[in-house]
Amino acid sequence: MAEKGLDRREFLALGGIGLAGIWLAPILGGCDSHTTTPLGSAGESASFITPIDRFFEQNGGEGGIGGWRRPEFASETDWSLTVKSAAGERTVTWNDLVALAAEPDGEVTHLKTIECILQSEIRPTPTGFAGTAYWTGVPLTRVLDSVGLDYSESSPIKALIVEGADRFLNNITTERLRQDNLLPPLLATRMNGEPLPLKHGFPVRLIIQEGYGYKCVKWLTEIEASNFLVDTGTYQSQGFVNDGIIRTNSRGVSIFEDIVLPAGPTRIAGFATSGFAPISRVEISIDGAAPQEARIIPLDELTDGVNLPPTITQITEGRPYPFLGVWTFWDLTWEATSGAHTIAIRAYDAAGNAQPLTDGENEGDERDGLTGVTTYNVEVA
Amino acid sequence: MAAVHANDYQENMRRPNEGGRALYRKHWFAGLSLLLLTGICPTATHADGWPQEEGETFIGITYGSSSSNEVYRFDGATKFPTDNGGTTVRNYPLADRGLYLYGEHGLTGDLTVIMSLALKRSIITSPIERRATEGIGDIGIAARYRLLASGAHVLSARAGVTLPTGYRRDLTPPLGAGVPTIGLGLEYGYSFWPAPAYATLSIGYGLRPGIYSLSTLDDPETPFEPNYADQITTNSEIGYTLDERLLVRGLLRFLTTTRKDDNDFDVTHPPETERYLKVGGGFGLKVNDEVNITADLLVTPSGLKTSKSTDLFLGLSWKGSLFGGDDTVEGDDDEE
Repeated sequence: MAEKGLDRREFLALGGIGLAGIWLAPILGGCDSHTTTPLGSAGESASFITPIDRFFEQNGGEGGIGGWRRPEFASETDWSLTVKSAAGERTVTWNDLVALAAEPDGEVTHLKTIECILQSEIRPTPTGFAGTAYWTGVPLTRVLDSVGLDYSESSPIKALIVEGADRFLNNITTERLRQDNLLPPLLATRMNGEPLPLKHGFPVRLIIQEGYGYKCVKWLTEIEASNFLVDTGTYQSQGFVNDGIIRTNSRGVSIFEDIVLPAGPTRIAGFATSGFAPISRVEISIDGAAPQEARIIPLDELTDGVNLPPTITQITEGRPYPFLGVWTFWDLTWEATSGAHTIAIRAYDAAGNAQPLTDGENEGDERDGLTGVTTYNVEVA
Repeated sequence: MAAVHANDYQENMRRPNEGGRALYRKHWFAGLSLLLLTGICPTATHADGWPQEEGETFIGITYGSSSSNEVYRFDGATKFPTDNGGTTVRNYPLADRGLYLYGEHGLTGDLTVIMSLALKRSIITSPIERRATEGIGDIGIAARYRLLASGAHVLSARAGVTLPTGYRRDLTPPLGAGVPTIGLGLEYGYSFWPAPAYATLSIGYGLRPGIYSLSTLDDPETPFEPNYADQITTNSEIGYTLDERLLVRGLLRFLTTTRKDDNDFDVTHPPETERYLKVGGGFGLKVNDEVNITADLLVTPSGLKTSKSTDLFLGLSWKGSLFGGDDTVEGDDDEE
């Protein structure tokens, strides 16, 4: 007889437990436990300028274009832009773009928050699908001028269909190109002063000040003129709103669903954005009480220690902060008491737009990114 | 070759001075297959071919640790799973830890019943929070039937089912897909006797019908019934025993679903479609005639919509006659 295994009893016991578990498990009807542990600390805010290596990447084509792949350009000179119209087809090369940028005032820099329209639904990180950079490039109108495309009011051309090298589609009206109260759409080639990274559209990305991310087509390679006000677009075909203007929205950064906060004075912070007008007010209601107005954090406080280039259009033009299409950080110090609480955030912009109280106010609308007042259920220890 | 019965794996790995005693049983390692999907979708198929002896029982317990810094997207490119926002977790945002219990019992010389149970802890870490779910994952019940044994070859069929245990499938992360998997497979084994080596190859089909009654919802108001594609699995393994005590082996695992899609990898729920190749190896150390310990490491060099995980398994197992019989299995010694 061979020597008995030293661990036999233990194995038999373990095996017995295991086998019993097999038969008992289905009867238990739910035998999992789930925990959520916050890692961020209350009171933290994201930086006003999002570093490139921390900027979210969301490619609309991944879910909307069969066989989607991220385009690759070995160098800038591999890129070209085809401009199609009834007058024919013109090509803008990288060198053409460089030459345009070298002209007086040929290159501009805009502050712009890229915000995915899905950001209100998906919150994987403090800022979700949103990030702010300063984008440098040539205004689209200069490029169109260089190829002789007429976007004036008298032109039959009403819209431009824009397409990325990944076949991602969108459109912009010529009326928008003529609106001088908004910053001109930009063919951006740099992000935060660095060459545009591949995942953010290298070498050229369209930047539209008031638009959600899907209006800011990456890897822009084609523009086609249309005599109609079209609703062409990869996201539009999935039911998202055609104009793509960022709806007045808000969200927490230092707070999120189920976070456990310390009792006592607790700073809660977040941001709000609107593509219609600058954010004018953010209100916080805790447990349904009368709303309190949050502090809009001044720009110099937000950018303390950050060297913003002096060429940023919003600054050179002396536009008052907050800026349209750029996230606006707010904070509020709350005397937190132990127990469960609900924090509701509502943003307003200078054009009178407010987050709707409930998502239902927009029932039947296209998918526009609005989901009602932003609400978090939190626990105070 | 009549003296060497390839249908009895232990015969092919026997120690000369203990005729009939198994040096290593392939079954020690079968339970590891449960871990290879980072706990999301246990498969009912294993790379195996040899059934247990009649009356013989195998019980194994394996600790599994699966960690991923990156995931494969639908196009095979990699990305950080939570790289969407102000910060990114670089320290294994996806992790599974588990204790896997696995048992086999030979009802007859040709028919072995198999049961498995997973006690799991799945963890997803984003820059702002860590979500962990723990509990009993899927259970597995299967049978292996030896179809053919000829010389060094053995061929078995395997049929089984893995069943959810009532866990909440809409949690992030869940303990499983929340649907049963009905598995059918063929398992082939080859012994290199008298060289102390073996090779196995199996192929299986996992049917995943949309039956959700064995799992529950954390949020009953929101339906959550993904359309999981069926799975095809292929596992192969080759092993060699050194000094009659140390088994060294190489492993290869491949899984693909029967359809593909081009949606991005969704970190919050198991993918409806998936593909991966895992390669690795490990060793088994024979403590005595009944107890073995094993250690295996696998990596994921390619995949679609799956985690690029590194999987470590540490196992301890016992084998013998559970119901009071003689632990020593003489097998076909008399014929040798």
